[in-house]
Amino acid sequence: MANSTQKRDKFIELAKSRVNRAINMIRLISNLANKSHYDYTPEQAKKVIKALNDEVKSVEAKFASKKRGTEEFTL
Amino acid sequence: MMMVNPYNNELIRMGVIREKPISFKKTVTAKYIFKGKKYLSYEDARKKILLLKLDSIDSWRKHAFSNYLGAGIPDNPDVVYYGRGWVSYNHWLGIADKLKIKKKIKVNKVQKSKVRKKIKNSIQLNLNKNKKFIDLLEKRMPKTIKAIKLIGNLSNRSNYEYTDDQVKIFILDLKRSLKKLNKNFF
Repeated sequence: MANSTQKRDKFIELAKSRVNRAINMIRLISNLANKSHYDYTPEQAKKVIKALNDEVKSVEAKFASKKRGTEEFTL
Repeated sequence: MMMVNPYNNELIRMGVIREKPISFKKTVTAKYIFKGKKYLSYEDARKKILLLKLDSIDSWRKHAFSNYLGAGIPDNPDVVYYGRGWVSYNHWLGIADKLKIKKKIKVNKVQKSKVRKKIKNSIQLNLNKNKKFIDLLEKRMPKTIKAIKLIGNLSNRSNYEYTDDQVKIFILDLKRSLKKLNKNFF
């Protein structure tokens, strides 16, 4: 089906751009760890890292809950 | 104080001391002086030895038994100078001072690292820099969280088709960047 190849291409394209964007944003945040320009308490740093970790975990869970086996149906 | 000399047997063989039990009193040290030979005073002899810059007792022994040390310098100073200013081989060779200096330096380093840790743990924040940090975080965190959430939308099977391997790869990428972030902060 032409439709499914379209869907595949779309996924790859969007995944690439979105993941790259997210990684870039994370890099920007890790720039804030530079103690010569910014200052922070360990608690603040832990909060930042925890928030990002939780977000990535929730994304992982989203994908994991929609595995193919649960959606496919064959007669 | 009794002084046990480990080289007694050797010294007896060489004729430096007598075989009879010897009382190690300060007043009888003259007996240990080589028959008829005169030695420099402890301090004078030590000054000459210090010029050799021997760095251990072993190297002193090798040197003393294989070389001529010079007039008036004994190769058995612990015997000759016993009770006449003898301190120890470390003092004789000038090693004790060096060791002490090394210890002092170590102590200084330990103290400094302790102080640094204390500063890290205490709430001595640079408030200006912390304000900058918080301001930028408040701008950047919502953006990144949105960006990550957008990735989650790609899981919709009715709009996209993908394999588990593809998902694994980019989630690994994300986790790797988070690890880097963790390293940078701690």
